[in-house]
Amino acid sequence: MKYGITRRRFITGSAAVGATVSVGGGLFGEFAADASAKETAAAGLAAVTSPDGFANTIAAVDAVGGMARFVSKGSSVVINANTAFKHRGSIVDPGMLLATLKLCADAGAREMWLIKGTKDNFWERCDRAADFPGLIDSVKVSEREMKVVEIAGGVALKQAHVDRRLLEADHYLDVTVAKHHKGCEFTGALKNTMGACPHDPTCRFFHVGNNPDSEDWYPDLNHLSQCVADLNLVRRPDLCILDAGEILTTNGPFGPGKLANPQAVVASADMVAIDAYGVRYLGLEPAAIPVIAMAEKHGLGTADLTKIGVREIALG
Amino acid sequence: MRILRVSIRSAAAVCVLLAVIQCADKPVVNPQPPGISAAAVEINGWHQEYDPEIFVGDSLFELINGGAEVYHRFGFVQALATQYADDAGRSISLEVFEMKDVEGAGSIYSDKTGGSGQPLQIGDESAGEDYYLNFRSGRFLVTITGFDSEPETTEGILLLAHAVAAQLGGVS
Repeated sequence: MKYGITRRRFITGSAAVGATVSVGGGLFGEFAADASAKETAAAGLAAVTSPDGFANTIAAVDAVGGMARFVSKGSSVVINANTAFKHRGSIVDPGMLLATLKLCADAGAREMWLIKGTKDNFWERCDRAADFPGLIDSVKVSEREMKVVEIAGGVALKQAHVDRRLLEADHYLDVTVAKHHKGCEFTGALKNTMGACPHDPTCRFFHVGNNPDSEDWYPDLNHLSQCVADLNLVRRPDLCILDAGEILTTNGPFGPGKLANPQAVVASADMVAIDAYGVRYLGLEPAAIPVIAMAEKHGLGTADLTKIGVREIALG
Repeated sequence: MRILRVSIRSAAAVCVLLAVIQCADKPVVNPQPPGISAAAVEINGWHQEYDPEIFVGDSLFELINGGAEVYHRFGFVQALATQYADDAGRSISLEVFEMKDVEGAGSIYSDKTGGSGQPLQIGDESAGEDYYLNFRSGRFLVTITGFDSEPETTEGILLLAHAVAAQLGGVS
């Protein structure tokens, strides 16, 4: 019975990502010591490829200026990490999240909050997690206490219930995975913000809009997209990190479904740009994803990647 | 709707308690059918990593997020989720969705499989993919997923699928 796939098949079948810069070494400590990288001005967006999500994350954040540029010493940091599901390609790579926590701690963060906790054996899937038990244990998980926020510039969404940790922390990191979504076709940094809202009433309003009896999965894509764009007016992230290691290309957002292995991590402070870049991992163009244009119209960032300085790095 | 998320043991304890209260002065003639909890089977070489969780009402959103809206429209009753592991550290996820009727389960099955996958002769209809499979047995929809694509994991998925199908085949 043909019922199995090898890692090699995943890799050879995955999307190819252009590499214009090579950085030697495989340990994150070597990146920090890389003089040539330090001499280069920070990129507006960095995409790093290698099989190591942890190392990719360290290198990507370093390339956009280092975590100290986004997280100040003694600050509180809220991390909205997409850890809601369990299937492959539907949640962030634990190595990527671990690297993010380490970078925040190294930058001097006083406390770190996750909007949602991790499920099941999330950390057991990361070999490096055992090296950072204190770090993982130090991270707090939001109590999911919601505050009602008025959204003055919202087109479809005028009010939302939002996790108070996202509103109150000194810094906000949007840490998500690039993947398929049955409604939006793509979910990335912009869509991930919904993770800071409760199902009822906010997310339910996003999903069903004015069509509560429709048998379509997401009956009004325009409404959903506009709500997502509007929600992001509440607070822009200081930094977005997009996992494109192993990603779901069908049956998103929760899966299981078909997978691709771009083996990349992307970092940018611009949440529109990171999504405009990230859609390529699903073979899409930014123009095909309405929320990108809607968010750009709100002034949340740019979909014009020529304006922000993209650096693509292949780790040796 | 009030969110209710309870373990199988807790739910079973409540059911037993209610049954005792309601039937204190009369004998139990027809025991309850095994229901969705019967899907959390034991299989050789694999153990359950934690107690199965039951999702009813809006707690389904904790399991599948926005997709839960559609499940509700198609007559969602309850879901069970648990995870198995073998001694080598491989893991398999089991999700069972109980729908109100066969039509609702069939609609969700069709959407999840998209008409693709390898037929496996499990339940009433089934489809195997690279690292997971879906099958429908009556008004139950079952998704079993591996966290890797190793042959041992695939074998475990199939073993579990047959065992769950055998259990659910007796539930109407």
